[in-house]
Amino acid sequence: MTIMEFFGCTFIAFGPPFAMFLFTIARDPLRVIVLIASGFFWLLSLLLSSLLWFAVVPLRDKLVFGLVFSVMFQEAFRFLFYKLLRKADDGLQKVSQVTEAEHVTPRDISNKHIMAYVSGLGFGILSGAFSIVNVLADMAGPGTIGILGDSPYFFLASAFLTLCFILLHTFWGILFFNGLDKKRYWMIAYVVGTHMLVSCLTLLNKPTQSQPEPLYLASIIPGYLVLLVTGVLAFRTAGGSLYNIRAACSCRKGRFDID
Amino acid sequence: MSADLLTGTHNRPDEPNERTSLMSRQPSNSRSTQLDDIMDVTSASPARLIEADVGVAADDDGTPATYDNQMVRGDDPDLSLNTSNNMGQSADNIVVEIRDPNRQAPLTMDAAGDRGPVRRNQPQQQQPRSQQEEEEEEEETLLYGAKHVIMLFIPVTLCMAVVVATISSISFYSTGDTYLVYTPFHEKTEDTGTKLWQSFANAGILLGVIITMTIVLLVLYKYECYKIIHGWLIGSSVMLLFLFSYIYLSEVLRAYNVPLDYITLVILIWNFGVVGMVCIHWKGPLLLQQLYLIVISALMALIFIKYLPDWTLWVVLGVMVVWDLVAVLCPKGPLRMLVETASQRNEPIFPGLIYSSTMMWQVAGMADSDDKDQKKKKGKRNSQTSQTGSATPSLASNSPPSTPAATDNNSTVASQVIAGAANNVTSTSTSVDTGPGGGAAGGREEVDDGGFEEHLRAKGPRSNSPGNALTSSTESQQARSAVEALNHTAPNSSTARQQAGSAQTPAAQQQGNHQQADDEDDEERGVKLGLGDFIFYSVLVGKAASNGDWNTTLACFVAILIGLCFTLLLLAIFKKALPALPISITFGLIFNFVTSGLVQPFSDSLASEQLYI
Amino acid sequence: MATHSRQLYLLLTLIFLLSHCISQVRPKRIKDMIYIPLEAQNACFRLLNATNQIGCSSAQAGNTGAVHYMQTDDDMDFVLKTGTTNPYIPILDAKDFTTDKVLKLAKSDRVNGIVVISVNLTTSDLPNGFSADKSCPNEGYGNHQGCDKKWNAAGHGMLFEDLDIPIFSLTAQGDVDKILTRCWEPFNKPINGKARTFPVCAVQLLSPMFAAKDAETCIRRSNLINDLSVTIYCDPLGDKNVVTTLKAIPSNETRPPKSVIVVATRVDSFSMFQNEFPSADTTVTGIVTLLATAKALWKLQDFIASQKSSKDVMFAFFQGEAFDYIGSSRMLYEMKKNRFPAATGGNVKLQTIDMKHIAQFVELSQVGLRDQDSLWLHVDPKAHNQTVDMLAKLKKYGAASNTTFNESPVADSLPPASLQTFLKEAGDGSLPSFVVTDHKEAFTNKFYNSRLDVASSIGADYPKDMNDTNEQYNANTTQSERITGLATALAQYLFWAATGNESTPEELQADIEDVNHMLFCFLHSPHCELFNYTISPDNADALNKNKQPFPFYVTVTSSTNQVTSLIQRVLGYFTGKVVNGSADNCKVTDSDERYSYMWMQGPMKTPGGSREAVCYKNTVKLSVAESPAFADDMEDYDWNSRKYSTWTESRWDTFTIRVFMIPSKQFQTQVLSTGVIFLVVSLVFMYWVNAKADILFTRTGVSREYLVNPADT
Repeated sequence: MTIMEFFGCTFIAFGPPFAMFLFTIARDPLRVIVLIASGFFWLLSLLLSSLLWFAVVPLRDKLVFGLVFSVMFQEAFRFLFYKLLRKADDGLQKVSQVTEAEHVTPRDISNKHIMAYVSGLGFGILSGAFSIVNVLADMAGPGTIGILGDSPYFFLASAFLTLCFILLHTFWGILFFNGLDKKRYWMIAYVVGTHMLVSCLTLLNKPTQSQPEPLYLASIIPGYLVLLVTGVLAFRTAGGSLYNIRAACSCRKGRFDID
Repeated sequence: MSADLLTGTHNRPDEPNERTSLMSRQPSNSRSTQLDDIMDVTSASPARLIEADVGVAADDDGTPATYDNQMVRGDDPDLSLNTSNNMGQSADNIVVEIRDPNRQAPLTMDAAGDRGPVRRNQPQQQQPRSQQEEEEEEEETLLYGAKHVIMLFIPVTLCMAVVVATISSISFYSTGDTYLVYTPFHEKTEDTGTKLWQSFANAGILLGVIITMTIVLLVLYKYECYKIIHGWLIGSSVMLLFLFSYIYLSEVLRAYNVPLDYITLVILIWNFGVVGMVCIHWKGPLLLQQLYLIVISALMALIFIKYLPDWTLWVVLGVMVVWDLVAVLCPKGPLRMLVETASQRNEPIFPGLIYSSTMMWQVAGMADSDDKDQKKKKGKRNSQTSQTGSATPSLASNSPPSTPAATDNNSTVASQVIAGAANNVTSTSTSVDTGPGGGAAGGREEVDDGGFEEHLRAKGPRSNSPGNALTSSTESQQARSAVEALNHTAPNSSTARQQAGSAQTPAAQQQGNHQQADDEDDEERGVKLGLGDFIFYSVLVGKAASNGDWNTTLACFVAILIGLCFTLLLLAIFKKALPALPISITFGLIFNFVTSGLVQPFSDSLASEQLYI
Repeated sequence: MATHSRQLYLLLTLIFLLSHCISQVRPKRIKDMIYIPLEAQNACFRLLNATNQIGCSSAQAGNTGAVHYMQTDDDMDFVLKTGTTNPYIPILDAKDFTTDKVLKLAKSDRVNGIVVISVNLTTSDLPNGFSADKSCPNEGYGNHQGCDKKWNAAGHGMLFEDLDIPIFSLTAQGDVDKILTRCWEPFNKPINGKARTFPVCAVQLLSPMFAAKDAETCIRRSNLINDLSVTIYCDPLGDKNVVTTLKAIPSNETRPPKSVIVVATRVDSFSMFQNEFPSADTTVTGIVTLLATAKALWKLQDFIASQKSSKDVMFAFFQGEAFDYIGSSRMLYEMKKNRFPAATGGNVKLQTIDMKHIAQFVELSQVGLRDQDSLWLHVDPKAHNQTVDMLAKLKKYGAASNTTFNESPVADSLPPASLQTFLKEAGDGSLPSFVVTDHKEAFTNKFYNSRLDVASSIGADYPKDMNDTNEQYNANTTQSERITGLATALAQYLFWAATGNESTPEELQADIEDVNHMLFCFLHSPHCELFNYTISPDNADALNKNKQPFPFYVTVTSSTNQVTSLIQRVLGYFTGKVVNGSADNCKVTDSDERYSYMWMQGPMKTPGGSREAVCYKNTVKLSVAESPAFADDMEDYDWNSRKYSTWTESRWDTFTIRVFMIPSKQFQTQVLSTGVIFLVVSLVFMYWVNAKADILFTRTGVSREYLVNPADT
């Protein structure tokens, strides 16, 4: 029984996203909705890219083609969702103006970050789910992969890459939205670039004649490096800083006594 | 006074008339009832007036949040009127969202003792922050619609989860060899064309049954055969709660090869069923009631999935969408007539048919004594009336308005659905869909264009036209804020002079009122979704899950939730009862087929080569 | 609205077509990278009788075990003791598939199942034979109680053990390759004596049986209506007996007592595995002989029938005899109820036959492998003196058609035979009767009731160089010659027994051509001219679909076996008369139901060309062969009185066997713990970030909205 493997990979891939959802999204209905909506948008992008992949029959076995285009589609839909969200924000503003105008601005700003985060996570969760949920389902059986010569680390690699992409999507969301808000277009370029880069790195996962054993590390390590950089960027963008971390750590004790 | 009370209808939206009818609702109802009603109506009324004052007082000098509680009650007459109408006539496939004023935010915090979604986002705001308090409420306002959407998401998700888990673990429900009598063609052939026409034929037959059943229902209702209807419903609910849950249990046991002796089985089923009957038909903890409704929907959905041929099921879903549209929106739809009859009689059609996220009679337990025996009386009265068939929703209005209506509501939902299961699955399940559906349609309209007038008026000065299309949340925000505005103004004008009285309101009474207010407040903030929606959503997702591809299941799930959001958005835009099936199911169908056809190959080959996009 | 709905319908239709035309394209799921499925459907299944359950069953979710190919005794030791990657599922060669080994393995809790390789079986693999049956077949259900005489020496009753592990038999070379070359050799085969460690290749056997405990229980549970859908757990074994009478005596004439000669043989056998039920010597020799005899005897049917005083001859082919005489006991039961042969409500029926009508009973058992090149006549010791002249006659006719008969020692009890049922009914010595077999003492057939009882074992196979099926179809074999001789002798004997007149071998010569054809059709390929001739046009396709010989297992009562209906058709063809008729009027028209009419494909107009269907009129009938214990009119049968057979076959869903890799416990634990750590850490971390959000993300003019915050790694 590989049920343990199943749970292990599930926790690896979806543990952190679950924690994020639990503590930051679940309590706030609006965020849940935005999360699902962004997930829906990601779904649309996937739909479009698979349609393209399917339509172009000659290239159907060339997945790299589908991959490149789907990255583009995803970013395009991220942009669309941004547009939509901003419209919504206007709406929120109006409604909030109805009574107390002075509070609009800060909340609006903050909303922007939060919504960016939420929609990023939405993208991430759905893409992660779509990339691994069937793998997990097949994994639960008595057998593990390898009788056809696949690497025994197949599942583990899948889980880690999924996690990587979920988090990356989250941060990309923040950078992308912020870039659009603040007209910092290098951010957008960075997002699209890294997305394309990391996705293409996963091409190394496919074993070839010359390389029977897939180079998982070659895709995972750079992936997580990019994740780290993006994370730091996003952290700073969202107003975090080293000082803040220190502050947070220092006063932790006292806080816990209070809690 | 009572003269123009009688004339005072909801249909005419002109301001003064509306007001009076609103303010003096309770006396007006007593026209159709006996002495004791009037007695306890009058006994109830002064308190309410005072509440109103307090509300106003609170309102005028920008108050700390604690007073907002009372302020709410200033509004509840008209709100509770809305409520009583909507509750009565809301259809199971109609989303009825009863909007409420912004200022009730803090209230929810107090009252939300056991309401998951609402309660959750409170704690941070619990700490008294005098400056940010207002902001809090604003935030609440913004989140309000969202909150209701979530209130629907959670049960819908639960229901789907139950169905999907069952389908993917118990082969009994995914493998169908026996079919319903309504589906004579069993799609045994391989030929696509044949399958297609067969499935359409099946669906057509089903639709025919549905329509006839609806008409039967209409007739029964027209001639006030309440006993027949209720007897039928209860009988069938017994069937679903006992028989189908028994089958489900036995299949689970068989699937996991678990032996179980009949004695234990009987004890289990008996307890399950009886508790269910009590919760659904009479009273019980809200959570329990909701759970039972969800379980019932899930069982029903499973029955559909098992006993309908593959393609037929898809076509049926499509047909349901169309039928839903026709029945609810068509000016001459059977439901329309049903509803009009109902509104003429000014009574709930079949109380219920809906999942309600609100506190119901549950408050009875907490409420103080006089509140209790009010309830008792009301209970009796309600039973009488439901037999005599002259039940008017406002009867119930002095303590938590339309409470019994609400209770019956759910009961009927359940039992209607069950009726479906029992005699002829689809037929009644549509009487689930349809009957009240129209009801809500009618009800919404009356109430809403009333509300809408106000809405505009309220909006006017604020230089904020509701016209521009915005996203779901926003739109519903606007609408809500409009109603809020209305609710501010209303009590002002009517009860400003009595502010003095408010000062020396005894604490005890405050307490009692507070309680009551909570009830009503809860009523008002309630979101209602027909069980029919639960069922068909679950059917769709369950069917998608039955071919073993989780991507498709996931896609359908997301699509349906999004569809739900859209429905609520449209509700906010059109201010008009809308069927909840069309958008969600259409999305669901599209995404099911497209995903299993296009996306799955793509994502599977991606997964097998470990490519990540 | 209307337009909307129309659009919607269009949309739906479109989606349907789209999904339909697309659904062909199914890429490989991860599942296909994990599992290699095998085609094998030949698994050992579960049977139940009144007292217990026998055979095999896997767990509900299947049994998984590391593959180990058993070649030496060390392997046995490895699997049972030393191996570390247990549990195992050993792969056995056919020669190692012996009762003691299997039981030894099955008893061990380190063994989760067994796979046996049955590709190109040769009987030489098992010098001392193999039989799934007990050493005393049908013990306790005949007239002779006890097992003092081990008729079936090779049998150790493997099938009658309740091995609660699954056992599969691989008959396709492809399957063997998959499990040996793609699973065993690369992953599990010890490298120079050193056993492999995880990950190893494993096989999963899935053959869960529905029924449990015993027949009574599973029948009772099947009859429970505890659900909207009735669940059947087991079905009674049974089929149909084929019978025909030479003189079709109508019901309005009387049938004098002691006026019927019963010539019987048995049709069914069994073995360990589903789909593997050859039974060359066990039954086919008897069946073919009896059919040939019938054809021979019918040459003089008119003469016999015309004789008022002559006795009637009934040919009976009993089904289910291998399971405690199902067919014969049911026929007797019907006789006692005076319902045999069954009437279907015509004006003129066949006069019923009863125990008292039976003058003598001749049974053909296994006649293929002659002990001391002679056939042996087994007589009920109590009725011996009545049979002396009968046996003498038979020997005489046998000599004429160079077939030697000998009497087995009188003291001996009868071998397992349908006759025992009749003797039990008839009472001591009242029924003159004998059984013709090929064995003097114990069975000469070493593969009685086993999957190795194949044509080659009875010399009914063809020279290696003969590959053309037509050639084979017509080829004489040693066996066919013997059978022809026996059939001729028997025909003559029956003629004498019926009429008292002598006849010449020429008159009643059995046709060796027919014997050749029948042997070919029953043992080699059912897709043969004889069967194609006799079968009805409707079933032609079904017949020609399968290349394998039809199984001789009795199966359950719900449907009639192919073998049964083929025997019926062939008998009808041999004993019937062509009447001109068409497909629709080739049936009982004149309400004289003594006769049945068979619409046959008939002869080919041109070789290999289309056929010209013909209608045959004959007296062949089917009679139910379900154990009386399950008969509708059987009230409160005492399940433990061993009066009637109580065998039932459990139902099952599917037989699945697939190979795949299984990881080590350590690896799994590592993965799981990593996952748990990830989960816990991220939970704690996110809680902290969330709690500290306002500090972590302070910035000018920041509102409490910063409570929630993006960065979290």
